[in-house]
Amino acid sequence: MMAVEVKGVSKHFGGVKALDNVSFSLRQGKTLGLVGGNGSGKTTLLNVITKMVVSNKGEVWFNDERIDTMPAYKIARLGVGRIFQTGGIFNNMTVLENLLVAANAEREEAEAVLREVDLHEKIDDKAATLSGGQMRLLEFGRVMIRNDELILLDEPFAGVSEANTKKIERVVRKLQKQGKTMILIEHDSRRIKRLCDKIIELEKGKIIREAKA
Amino acid sequence: MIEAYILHLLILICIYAILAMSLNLITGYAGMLNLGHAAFFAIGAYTSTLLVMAGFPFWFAFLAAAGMAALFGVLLSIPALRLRGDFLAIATLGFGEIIRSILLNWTELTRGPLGIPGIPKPELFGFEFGALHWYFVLAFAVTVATYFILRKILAGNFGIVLKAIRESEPVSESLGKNVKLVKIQAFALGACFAGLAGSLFAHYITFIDPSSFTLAETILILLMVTLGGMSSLKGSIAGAIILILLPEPLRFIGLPSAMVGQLRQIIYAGLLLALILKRPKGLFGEKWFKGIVSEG
Repeated sequence: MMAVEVKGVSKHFGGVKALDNVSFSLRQGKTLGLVGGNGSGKTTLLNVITKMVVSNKGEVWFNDERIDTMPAYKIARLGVGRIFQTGGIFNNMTVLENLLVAANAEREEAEAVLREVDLHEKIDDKAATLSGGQMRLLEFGRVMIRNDELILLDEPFAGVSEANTKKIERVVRKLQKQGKTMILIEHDSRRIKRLCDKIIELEKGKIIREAKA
Repeated sequence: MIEAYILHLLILICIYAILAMSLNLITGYAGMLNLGHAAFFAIGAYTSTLLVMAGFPFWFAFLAAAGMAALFGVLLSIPALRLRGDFLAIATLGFGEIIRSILLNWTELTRGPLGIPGIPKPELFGFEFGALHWYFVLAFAVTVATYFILRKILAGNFGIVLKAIRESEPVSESLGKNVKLVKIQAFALGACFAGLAGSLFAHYITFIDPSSFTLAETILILLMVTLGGMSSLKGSIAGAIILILLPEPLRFIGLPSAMVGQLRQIIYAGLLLALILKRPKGLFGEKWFKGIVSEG
């Protein structure tokens, strides 16, 4: 079954074409690597899928349901989760609260999830006191507690220490084993090869290469 | 005599504590600067007054005041929530002025600038809260109830979602939160308690006119919230206590009454400046982090 289908999506900001007739599909449980230079439209594509940006043309389908006509929060409720490039954490809330926003869960459940991303000792700390890598791990905790089916990852390894990079990679693999579908924006080609089933390269908003990893 | 004076101050503190807590919900917790809060106060006061004068029982008028204010909270938030930050503040300011001029000009209903005198003291199931100390008991009970209800609501999931929205609306949406709906709920809830305060105020003072519900009133409430600290209910109560009591000594130093009012404004302004310089987060406010701490 196709988890994600993007059909002829275009998005322009003024005269700049951020996405130009982009189409692809992704099977359930597979990981797609999204590569391309700065401004090639990678993040815009994730924004269109989650409706943080409204596309000018095209359709987005998730599990055989058209989602580009829905508001962002409804798409999220269908099980589409996202790890942001920056600013995805609520700094002034505790680690626990950051998880509870995502799911109406008990403390024990949150603690179990935090254990998986190695943050259980920080449960009552303010999120602002975490390092950049720990913040990413907390975001992973959020998609785990929400049990998202499709996870969009916007450069989750950028600016993260080596120790945390290993932890994040371990978490990604675990999610893959659980059968989650993922779209990963990443610059490191070796890591893309390691983690992805399929690669799409964007340039100036167009798909210029689509290949198996 | 001195007892009556102290009870009077205590009742005012209760009314303003409710106002400050309700505004804190909207502005502190949900992060929406609301410069029209006095309008909800006014709607509560007029609703309660008109209903009681029309022969309805106090308990009904009291709840209707809350309901009517909440309804206007929803009505305001639907158009206003297309805006954010300063623009939202201007829209709410406009709303406050619209309500005030309706009260001023709809003379068949409100008697306009003449105001409505002779508002009866509340009567609950045969008991009249006429005596000052009984009125204080009523006002205090409502204040305590407001505090515990708001605390319960804000400690739960709704409070967490409000905090999240204050920090980042897009991230909250990406976690499945209907940001617009939550903001409307916050406005309605805040307005509802301001309406209760309005009812308490009207039946205490026994006279209302539109001049009691000006922008200056909203600013005073906002100052209480800021002084006490954003997103702290205890802070709002402390803010109400301090700002009600602070100008009182002026009454006793024998200044001409024309000067007292202006001196009050100076005191408020000075206090606000001192606050910004020395304790920007307010007395009970939480430390506010911005940006990301670097990788360690």
